[in-house]
Amino acid sequence: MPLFEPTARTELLSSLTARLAKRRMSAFSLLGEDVCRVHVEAAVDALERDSVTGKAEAMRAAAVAMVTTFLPESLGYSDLCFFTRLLRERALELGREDQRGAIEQWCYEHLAVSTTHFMVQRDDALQRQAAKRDIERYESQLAELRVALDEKTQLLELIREASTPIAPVVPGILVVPLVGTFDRFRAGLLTERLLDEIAKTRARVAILDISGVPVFDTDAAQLIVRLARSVRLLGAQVILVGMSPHNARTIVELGVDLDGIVTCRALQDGLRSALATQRLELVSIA
Amino acid sequence: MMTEPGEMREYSGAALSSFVVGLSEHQAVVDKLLAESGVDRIDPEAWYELEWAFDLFDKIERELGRAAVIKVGRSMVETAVYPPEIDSAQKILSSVGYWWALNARGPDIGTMTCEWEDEHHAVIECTAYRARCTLVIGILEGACMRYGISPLVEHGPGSCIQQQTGPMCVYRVSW
Repeated sequence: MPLFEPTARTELLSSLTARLAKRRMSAFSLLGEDVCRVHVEAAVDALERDSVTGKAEAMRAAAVAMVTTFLPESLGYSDLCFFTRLLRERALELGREDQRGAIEQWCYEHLAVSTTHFMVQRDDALQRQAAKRDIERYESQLAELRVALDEKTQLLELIREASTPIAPVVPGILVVPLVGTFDRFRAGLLTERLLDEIAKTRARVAILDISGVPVFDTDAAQLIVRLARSVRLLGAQVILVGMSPHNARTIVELGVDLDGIVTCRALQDGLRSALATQRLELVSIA
Repeated sequence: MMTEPGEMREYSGAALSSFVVGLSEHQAVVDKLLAESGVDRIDPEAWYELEWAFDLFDKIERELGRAAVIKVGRSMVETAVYPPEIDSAQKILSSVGYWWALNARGPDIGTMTCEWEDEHHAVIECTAYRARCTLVIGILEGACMRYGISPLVEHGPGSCIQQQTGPMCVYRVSW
């Protein structure tokens, strides 16, 4: 014997569908009557089948499908309660008297299953939102780091340019004033730029003015020696000027060999020496 | 700004004052926002331009976030004095329309109505002019919390006054 008489079943389906579709500002009204009817029929079918088997197996699939369909349209907990409450009220009214207990139990389990699935989906959506926010935060941090890196790179390039000025004072003669600490990093930069400049300008002499270098130690001296060797390979020579008495003493004490490098006391002397190699000299206009 | 009775929309100084009092832990921010809006303090006896009052709500929400405004909405109802006959969450939710009518006046001010689906499920339909969902949700939560109930307040999809996606908000309160 069926749970619902045919006319009662028709009445059940149409009344539930209409009520759901009319629920103002809800996932049901947003998706419309046709979709509501599909899920009402699925629920009523499940109720009938489960009333025969005595198990709530068909109910599970119907409840999960209903939640999955309406959740993207902002299905709420109150909507779930509304759905099950309507179904329960009308099924109790239109169903067989001897099945009232089974209908009550089925509806209770329907709400439990749909609520559980609803919570799982909501939790999943929240976690996805949180993960999305994390990604957005990381992307924004990465963008900030990229901007900072670009700025730093530009700054370093500026420092690099400023820290190794090379002035072509006379054709064939370059003057390189060194100011501040002369370390391996600056030596590397200077060697690279100076060799390029010598090759480009066909310079014969590079005057290195170290009067602005506060400490000229073994490392710095070795770096200059190496630089001079590289310059010599290009057919040019290095003149070292601006050596302070203190630095000169230090170099002698440390036993650094500056052989092969012409040294002059001041830039003017160095320039004069360099001009001499070009068969030029400084003369007074007056 | 304070107004004289007339044809403009107005919001009660008492409600605005309880909102500001509810933000006491952010006093410095509120004082700054009030000063920027041209007043030193809210007079509970006065009426204010509704647009001005709701612009202030919006500024506060932008400055302090949703959670702070919801919390204030709760505290407004939890600490308010109600007549003795209002003695349950059901009664206070049912009277939400009166709350709006008492606190706002003027043309096309809108309404708030409450219908019950059963004793634990209420549907609040709100057409209140410039309704702020965060504040309303806080008020609905506070109405239940006043009687020891922690409710679930859900905003119906499809239309929202604050988001300017429709002329109405529907809130479903369950517990």
